[in-house]
Amino acid sequence: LFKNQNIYYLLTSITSFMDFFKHEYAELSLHDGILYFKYCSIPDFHLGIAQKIVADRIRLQREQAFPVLCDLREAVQPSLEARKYLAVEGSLLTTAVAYLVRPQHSERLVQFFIQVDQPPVPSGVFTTEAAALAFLTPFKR
Amino acid sequence: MNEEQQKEGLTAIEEMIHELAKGNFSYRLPSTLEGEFSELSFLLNLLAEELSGFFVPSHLLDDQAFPYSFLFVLDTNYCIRGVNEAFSGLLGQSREAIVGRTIAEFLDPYSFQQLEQAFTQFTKEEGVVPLIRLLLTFRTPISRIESWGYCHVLSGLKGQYYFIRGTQLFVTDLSTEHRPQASIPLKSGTSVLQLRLDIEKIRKVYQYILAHLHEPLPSLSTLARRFLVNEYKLKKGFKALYHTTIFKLHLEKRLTQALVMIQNSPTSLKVIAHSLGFKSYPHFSKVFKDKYGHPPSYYR
Repeated sequence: LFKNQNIYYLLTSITSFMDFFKHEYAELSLHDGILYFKYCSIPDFHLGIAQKIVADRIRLQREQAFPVLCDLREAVQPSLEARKYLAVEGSLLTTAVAYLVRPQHSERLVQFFIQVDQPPVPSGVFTTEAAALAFLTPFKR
Repeated sequence: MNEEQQKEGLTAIEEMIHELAKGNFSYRLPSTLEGEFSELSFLLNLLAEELSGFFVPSHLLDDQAFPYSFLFVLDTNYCIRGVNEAFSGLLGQSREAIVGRTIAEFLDPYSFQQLEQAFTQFTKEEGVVPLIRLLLTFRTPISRIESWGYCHVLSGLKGQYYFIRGTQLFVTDLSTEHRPQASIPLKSGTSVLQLRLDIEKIRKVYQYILAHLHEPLPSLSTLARRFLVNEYKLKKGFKALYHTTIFKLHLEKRLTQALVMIQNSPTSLKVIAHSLGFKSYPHFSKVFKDKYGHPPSYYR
C-alpha cells in the first residue's frame, strides 16, 4: 500500500504541471480557456468518488476558475450524497458548466440535478459540443 | 422493446406511483427495467430519495421532536441485539420474540435495501462518521408502519453496532387497506398549508446559504424578512429540518470548501480564507482548527 501511495503522489505531482489528467472516473483537460471534463462509466458513484473527482479537478486547475464542459455521454448515476456534494463543492473554481449529453439519454437526469440540487453557477444541458461551447464562451477569461 | 417488456415497465412505474402516493418513500424501482423505462425509473427513484428528505412530520416544528421514539440495535449481520419497549410495541411482539432475529424479517424489502446501503456508507466513510437519516417501512402480519429516524454507528472492542432511533409516521391496517392515518395529530391551530409554506421558505433559505458561501450572511432577522418567514420559525424550523443552525451550516460548508482548496490548490491560505468570506485569517485559522483538529497549514 505504501508503495502504491508513493506512486500516486508521484503521478499527481507530475500531472500538476500538465493540462491533462486521467483516472478511472474521468478524463480532464484544459484547452483554450475551457476545462473539458469527460466522465467514464462509474458503476457505484458514491460520495468518496465525488470527493476524489472534485479534488483532482481543482488540482489540475491550479487556483484558476474555468468554465467547464462536462461530458456525460457515458451515463453516470451518482448517489444522493454524491449529487449534493457535486452541486456545492463541485462548483468550486467553476464559472459555468455546460453538460453534454446524448440526445434522449441522461438529459432528464441532468435537468433533475440542475433543478433540484441547484448548483450555484450558470448551468445548461446540450446535445452538441458546439452548442455547449457557445454557452461557455462568455464565461472564458 | 417488445410488448411484454413495455407492459412490465408500465406496471412497475404505476406501482411506484401508488407507493409514493401512499407515503412510502423508501420504495425503489428495480434497475432491471429496459429501454426508456430504465431512465424513467431512475428518475422516479431520485424523486423518492428527494421526497424522503423533504418529508417532515408536522410535530417537528413544535417543541417535542420524536415524542415516542423507538430504538433498536443491530450487529453487522443485521441481527437485532436490543430493542426498547416502544419498538416491541410498534411491532406488537415481546422483546424476547424480536431480539436475535434479523431486521429483514420485519422490514419491507426496499427498506432493507436502503438500510444495507446506509451501512455500506458507514464503512466507506473515513474520519467523521455521518449521521444517516432513514425512512423505514416495517411490516407486521396486520399492518404496515412507515417510520423515520437516524442511524448511528457504535464501534467497540467487541465489534461494530448500529443504533437506530426513530418515530412512526403512519400505520396502515393491512386487513382493510384504507388510507393511512397520521399517527401524530397536528397541534391544534396548526394549518397543514401554513406548515408546508414555512418549510418551503426554510428550504429557500438553505439554498440561499449554499449560493452565498463566499460572503458573510445577513442577520437572522434580515433573512427572515427577506424570505417572509417568522424569525422564531426560521430559527427553530431550520434546526428541525437540517439538524444545525443557519450560521453553523454556513460556517461548516465554507470550512469544507476551504479544506478542499487547501489540499488541492496552491492558493495561499490567506487568499482562501478571504475568498470564503472570513473577515480575518486568525479567525479562519481558529474555526478551522476547531473543526478539523489541526491548523490549515497542516493540510498543505
